[in-house]
Amino acid sequence: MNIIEVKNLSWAIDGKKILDNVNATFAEGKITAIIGANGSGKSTLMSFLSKTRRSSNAVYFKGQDVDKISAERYALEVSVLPQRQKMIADFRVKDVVTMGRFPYKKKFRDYTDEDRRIARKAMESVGIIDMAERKLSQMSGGEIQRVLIAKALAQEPELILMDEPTNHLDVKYKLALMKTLQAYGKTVIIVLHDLSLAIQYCDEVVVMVAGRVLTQGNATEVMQPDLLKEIFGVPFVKFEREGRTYIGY
Amino acid sequence: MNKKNLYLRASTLTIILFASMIIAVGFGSIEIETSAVINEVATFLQGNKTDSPNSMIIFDIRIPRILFAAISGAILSLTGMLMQTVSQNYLADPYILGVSSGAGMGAVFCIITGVAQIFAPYGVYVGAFLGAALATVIVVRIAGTSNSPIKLVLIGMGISALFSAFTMLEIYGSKNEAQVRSAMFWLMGSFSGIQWTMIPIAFTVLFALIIFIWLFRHELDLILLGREEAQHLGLSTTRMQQAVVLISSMAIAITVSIAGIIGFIGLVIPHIARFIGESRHAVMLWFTSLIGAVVMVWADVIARSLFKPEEVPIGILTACLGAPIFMQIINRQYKDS
Repeated sequence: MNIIEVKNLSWAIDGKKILDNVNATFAEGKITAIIGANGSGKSTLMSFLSKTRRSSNAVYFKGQDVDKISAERYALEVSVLPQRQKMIADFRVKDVVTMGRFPYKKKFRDYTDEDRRIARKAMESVGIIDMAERKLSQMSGGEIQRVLIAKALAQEPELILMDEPTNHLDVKYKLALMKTLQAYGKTVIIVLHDLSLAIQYCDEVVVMVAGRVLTQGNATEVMQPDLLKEIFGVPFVKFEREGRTYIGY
Repeated sequence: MNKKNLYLRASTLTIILFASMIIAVGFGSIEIETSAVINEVATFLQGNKTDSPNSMIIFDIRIPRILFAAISGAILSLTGMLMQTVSQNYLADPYILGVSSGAGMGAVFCIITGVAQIFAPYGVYVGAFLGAALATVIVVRIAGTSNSPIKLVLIGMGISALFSAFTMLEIYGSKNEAQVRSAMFWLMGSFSGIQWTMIPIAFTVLFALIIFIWLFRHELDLILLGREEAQHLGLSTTRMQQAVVLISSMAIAITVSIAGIIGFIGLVIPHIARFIGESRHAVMLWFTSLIGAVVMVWADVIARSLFKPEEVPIGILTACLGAPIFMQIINRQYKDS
């Protein structure tokens, strides 16, 4: 079953087509990577999936037009990790992660003990429990990224949308993140630049070129060197080591 | 910092505030010993009141003035905090963004044109509110969702310059000397002439601000984290922003109507509160209002004592103290950009 579907989505800015009749489906319980060159429309597509932009009858979540779903209800089912923005707030790590529980919180009330327990679990799963009391200003870009990932997990969503979450992360945490997402077991849509990560950890892949979906399907089947060369304009090699598939360039 | 530590700091601040208010009563053109102040207050609390000149100075002049200084210090600081949160810009404050100038222009316009008499006795408040709201709407409209903190500040300064020019034009064009003098007072900010009758309305505004911030403490946290983050967590940031514009315009209108334009308190105090407390609004609310009140009570003491028996208008004093700190904040935070 598909959790989210995109039907004939086009979008232009100043007459320039950013998305050109995009059609894509995202299967429930699967991790789908969106790959493509810079400017191919990946982040724009994500902004429609996350309801940041109004889609006018082109995006359907569990069969329902997302424009007709309230932001409050959508937040109960979908968590979004946007590309990193500048942040001035100097909250403690545990407070930021607990904010992921906001959609569940009763109006005017504080977060419950249950909310704090779930936040703790999320911090444990991304390995930041030791930093719970630290302030964001004392942390590196990669550490803050993991805090925001924990916040997204604390939201306990059916669907997680992540736009290049591996930016700022070193190799160890890139791998840890992908493993955490696999273990989470829900639907994940993730924009990735690291093609080896995509082929190793993602079930499906959506390939975008110049605002269109070139192809969509099983990650291992779709990601062939010939196709990748066509997209990125450089030669690729695909090889296996100790049962893992790698893509190099 | 754990909860116990926060409570300890907050209660220390509360004690400092009350002690400051009692000590401050003694300062002024006529000095009164703190022990004499305590005696007079103790007598008053027992239901008696002496007819001594000291008693008159204490109860009719100094206490309402000090109460108002504390209340307006808290109001200006909380408003500054709200503006900083909503604009995600630690340089925001009602004075810097031109909101106070808008309120000043509205108030002066109402007095000089006589419109104030139509809505008497609230004419000046209404004028100040409309002016403050107008200035806020212009700032929000022009700066929009710009991520540049400096842009917001520069637009605010433009608006401030514009509204101050209007105010001066209104004053310049007026033939009535008494009106001119009372209008000048709005441009400088002063606590002289504060009466008991002004305390209830100022206190009501402070109370409303505190309730508002307490009710929406978690929503404000989300907005400070980032507008986009807040929206993804299901919060309507536009509605929250409108509510903040409304309540802060009201708060600024009341303080400006009563005491004129007092700058930089709203900018500086939230920085100190964040340093002593933490960024969560549930904590910021109490630290910001307490520190704001303490600082304003002492600023007023300095204003009264520096060149006594003359007093320096409080707005001039806060500008002298606040402007260098403002420049320091810019210099430290925006070194490379």
